[in-house]
Amino acid sequence: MKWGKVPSEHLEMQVYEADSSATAVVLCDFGELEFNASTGTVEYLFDHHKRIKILGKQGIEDYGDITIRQWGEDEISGIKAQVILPNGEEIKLKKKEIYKDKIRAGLVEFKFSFPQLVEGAIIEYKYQLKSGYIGSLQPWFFQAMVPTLWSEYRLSIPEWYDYVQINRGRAMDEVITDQANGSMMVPGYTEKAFGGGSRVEQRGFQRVEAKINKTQYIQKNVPALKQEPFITTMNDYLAYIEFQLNFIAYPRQGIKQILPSWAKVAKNLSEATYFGQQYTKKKYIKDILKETDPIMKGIESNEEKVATLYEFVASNMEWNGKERKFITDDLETAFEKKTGSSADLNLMLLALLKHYGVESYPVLVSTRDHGQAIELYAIVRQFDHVITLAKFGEQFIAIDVDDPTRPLGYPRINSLNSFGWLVDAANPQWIQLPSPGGKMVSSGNLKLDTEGTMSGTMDYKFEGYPAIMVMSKMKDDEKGHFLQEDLKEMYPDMKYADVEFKRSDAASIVAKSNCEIPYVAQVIDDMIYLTPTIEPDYEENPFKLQERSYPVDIPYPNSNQIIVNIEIPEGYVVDELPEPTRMSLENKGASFNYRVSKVNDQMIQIISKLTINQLKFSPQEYPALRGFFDLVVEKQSEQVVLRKKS
Amino acid sequence: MRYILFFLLIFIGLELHAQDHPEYAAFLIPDSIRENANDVYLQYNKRFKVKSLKSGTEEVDGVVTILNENSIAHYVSVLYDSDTKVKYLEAKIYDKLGKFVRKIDKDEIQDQSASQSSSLYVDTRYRFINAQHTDYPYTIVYSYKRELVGRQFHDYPEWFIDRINSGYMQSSFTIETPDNLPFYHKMYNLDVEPVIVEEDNKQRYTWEVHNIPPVKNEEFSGSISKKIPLLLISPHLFKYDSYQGGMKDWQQYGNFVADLWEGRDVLPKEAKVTVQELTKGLTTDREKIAVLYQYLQSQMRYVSIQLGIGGYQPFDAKYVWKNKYGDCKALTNFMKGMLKEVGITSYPSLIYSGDPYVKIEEDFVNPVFNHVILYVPDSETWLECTSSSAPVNYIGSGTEGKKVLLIKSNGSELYNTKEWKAHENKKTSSTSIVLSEKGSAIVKANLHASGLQHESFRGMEKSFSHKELEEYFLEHNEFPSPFIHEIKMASSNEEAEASMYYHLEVPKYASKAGRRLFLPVNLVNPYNYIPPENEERIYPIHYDNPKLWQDTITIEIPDTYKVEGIPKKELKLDAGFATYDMKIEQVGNRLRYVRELKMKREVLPPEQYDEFRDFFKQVTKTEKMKIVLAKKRT
Repeated sequence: MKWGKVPSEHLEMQVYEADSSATAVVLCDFGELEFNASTGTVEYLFDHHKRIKILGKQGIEDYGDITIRQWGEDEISGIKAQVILPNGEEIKLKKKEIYKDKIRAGLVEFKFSFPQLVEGAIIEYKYQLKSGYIGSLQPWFFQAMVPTLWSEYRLSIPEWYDYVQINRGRAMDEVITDQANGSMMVPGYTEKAFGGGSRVEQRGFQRVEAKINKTQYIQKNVPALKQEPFITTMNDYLAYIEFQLNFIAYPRQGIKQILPSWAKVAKNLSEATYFGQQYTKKKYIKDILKETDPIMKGIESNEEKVATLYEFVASNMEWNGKERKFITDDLETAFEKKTGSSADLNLMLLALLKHYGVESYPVLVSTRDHGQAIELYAIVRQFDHVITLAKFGEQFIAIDVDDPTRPLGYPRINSLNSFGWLVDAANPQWIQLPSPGGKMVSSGNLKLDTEGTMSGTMDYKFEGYPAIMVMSKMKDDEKGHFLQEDLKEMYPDMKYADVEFKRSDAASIVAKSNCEIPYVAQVIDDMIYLTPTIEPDYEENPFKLQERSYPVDIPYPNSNQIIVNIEIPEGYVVDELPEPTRMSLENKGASFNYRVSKVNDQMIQIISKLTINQLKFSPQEYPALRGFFDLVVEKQSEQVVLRKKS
Repeated sequence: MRYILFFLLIFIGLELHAQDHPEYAAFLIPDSIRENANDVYLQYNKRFKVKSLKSGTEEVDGVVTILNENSIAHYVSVLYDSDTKVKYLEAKIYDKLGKFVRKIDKDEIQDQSASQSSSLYVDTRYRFINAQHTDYPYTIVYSYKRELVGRQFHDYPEWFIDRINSGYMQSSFTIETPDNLPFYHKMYNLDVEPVIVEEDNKQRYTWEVHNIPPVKNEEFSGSISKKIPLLLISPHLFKYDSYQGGMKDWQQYGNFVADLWEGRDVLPKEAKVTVQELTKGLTTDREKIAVLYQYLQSQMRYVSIQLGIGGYQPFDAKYVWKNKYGDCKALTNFMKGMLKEVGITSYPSLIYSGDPYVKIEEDFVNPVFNHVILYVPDSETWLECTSSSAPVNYIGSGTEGKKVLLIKSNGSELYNTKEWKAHENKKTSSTSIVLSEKGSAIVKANLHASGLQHESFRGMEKSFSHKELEEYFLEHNEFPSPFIHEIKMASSNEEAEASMYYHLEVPKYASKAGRRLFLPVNLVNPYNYIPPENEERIYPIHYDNPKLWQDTITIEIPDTYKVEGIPKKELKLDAGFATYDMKIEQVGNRLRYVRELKMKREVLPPEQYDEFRDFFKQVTKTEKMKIVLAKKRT
């Protein structure tokens, strides 16, 4: 792509045929990366040139103002920008029209606005980024919020550098490789006689011939990225590529491995002060032990040790809201401050477990917000969180501390991202993290009167994540009014009733309340119409769009069960009941069972059970999933008809 | 108090060090201040010293107890720019018993640009400290000093005596000025007399308050300017760059602004030619305004660059012509220039868009403005120059019913923007629904909206592609999983009006139970918001979203079904500020639902809150009812 040379078909384009709703199209996004060591340090130069066609007003809003970010020690220079009007006229931005905004330490933004922008215009800009951080090269995004016609990334990498590449989201349309001759400055070495042999000493830099490996990554006609709900993170689906330095092999110097093997990473981490030393060296936990020794006295079983120590860390340490994989300062400091990141809390627990003889390991995790982990390469950056795995007998339990209301065995929901990497110098391995489920049972004994008012008792049992949610809400609302919020919204005449809670074990809680809900049923003449599922699982289908581009991702399996007995008013008979339904998705990914029946002349019973087992539904499975929820909503809103005895 | 403290300390067994402050202990805050508070200022003292016409200093020290995680008082941020400097900023953290925890290190002070996404570039920045501690409650002690020049100085700082969900045990404000630099002052929503000291050709005024409970956030309680006690001070005379101004009255302040705008609306030659060409043959002002405004909307876009005095002075017309962009001042100034070219006089009008913390009033110059629009006096036309889609003379929800300052050289004055009435904010719909025996329905609806009610329609029409419109509709409509056959929108260029048409198929419109169908009556435009319960209502009720909804829905039911029951055939409510009138009639196999909901702007006493709420409750319930159809027995 040549600066300012725009083909006439691009200038004349009025609409993008493949996606007529596009308000802008990236005509060409071109990046070129080369190495340079002329100044004595090895760095890369990244040239970026982007050209965008504006098709609609929204396109002007989205691309009229550009921000280019410069991080850390990187340097951005040579920013050029221009607009090409539909009549071919070019308007270049002046230097003073590019504002340099020091946002904060380590971040500078270059900002500019394109003048004279109208629909049909083309904008283009380019700049060069110089970076000394060759450990990972500038990543490249092939996809944008609008469609992209052509996206190309060219890298010229001297043969001495070997990079591994990670690409996600979409396969390359073309990859072209080539080799050329070039030269580069490399660290120079001379051999010197030393004792009986010789030794190598570094002597400045010298220019050396090298083969340059050239690669072009090309994607064409890339559709716009679409935001969708029920997803881990859009990063998992965005088309992009990144590069991690694997090894360096300068001529006559052997191979210098940069990207370690998983085994090497495990060994390094196990010895690192910010990781392994914390749970192997006793000095970091000696203050903690003063407090734990008395309470651990006499505890024999591993189960009880785990439970006691979990409780100890959870109630003594406050989570500072940050998910981290490495320790902040050290465990001693964290304990003194009584607060820390997820790494501080979980590694503290690990250190204690190990000290008291429970077999346990740290497991690195990439949270749901952070994206899926890549098993192939030992890149520690892909993780953002660490949890602890304890073993008793043949059983493993995943432990993730934050506040004491979240019981043992239930990692934070953000941790539930399929896989984790167990750090063990002897035997590091990927493990499947269990997704413990959730369950809710509500049962009621209710009585309907002739005004349409329902009253009686409701009992709820929450297990797993729903129980955790209830416990955390109870902190601010002891009377449990939050439990009746949905009901209150459906039946505004209802008054809140106090709820009595009882924690039956760490991960389950029962709640009991007396309720009175006026006008649940419509009373018309001699008839009473009643929706017996007064608390439906879903009032409307959560899946509104007709189709999807990305999978639906649900963090944990869940089941909701409703069993309610309703006593009907004296003098009335049941005229009609909803049809029973039993439905399940393919492979039993989700199932729904609904039945309203007559127990006797004065009593009806509603049994509803909704179970979701499958955690990922592909876009192909989406219509079935949506239809399934349509049925759930429909059945739970169906009515019972009562008639006055004649 | 000393005795009590002494006993408490023994009881707690606290070890006291010199740097500890047991008097900061959170349990000492009385319940009357703590209620509804996320944080309580034990002390807050602001001192402002005027040095000259151009500059002054401001020193603040505060002791604030953070009670819970909803508080943001642990962020201490200080604004500065190319003229104003921060001399120091420091903070210390104390725990719930007033025991010293730590001092914020110098390297924890962050320095950030105030540029937000809406502004492309501003030179305003702030220094800030995040003095967060995880163990609630805790107390932070902070202080800072600024040397104020230019933008931050010229209208003098204000003193917020109270805030939403923040209580004050003690708070004071002091102003010290040389005798030759007098000032004006006015207090809002509270009456406190200053202590005045005069010495050495200086005067010092100090206001102080104790035990101020937090302002509570209540729904429908109107503008925040009615609730927040506040002191404003302003100079008799000030200097900003090379411009001099005064705040004796609005005319004097207006002259200062007029000076800043003077001569900047001269159009370049090509622009003059364009304006002449666009208006060729047009005879009335109304036509010319419409053409030129549409030209501005289609050609120029909103981009904000605020540098130094550029926060107050517009970029000139040449700049806007060249770049085809500008901020509210620059676009307003350009529009003014275009109108001037065709002989139409117009005035820039300074305004606060949104809810200001203090209302503009005739008797005191308090230039609390954040926006500018254009007013054409001869045809009484308002022009919002930053909107690419608003019709001519449209005053939106952010700018209606406001006092504005019309900028004229030697004659600036306050003026009112229009305030919308219920009947002007109208949404009407006419819908036909054909129901099948299975409960599915074909729905065809025509909706029309005007006034404030049309804003969302226009927004949808102007900014969504057809696909986005469909998706937006699917996510926000009331029908159960509809399929869209057709959906279209239109809006008027001249009037504040827009319309929508849709044609849907709804497979599960009526729910089926055996031989019956349960038929919802109004899924087109139902009212469904009930204000929350207030156990103890403090503030009067302000209803300020006047509107009129008129909907007619005709439902054709299958021949094989008869109407078994209609929960309510008729409902008339009159709550004074609002009326509701609903009626269902049956003619053959057609049901006709007609309803009107009208709500006026009104202020009601707090005692009427339950009645106020009850109206919405009854309406919502009625809107949700379902008609029962039963299969005819054969």
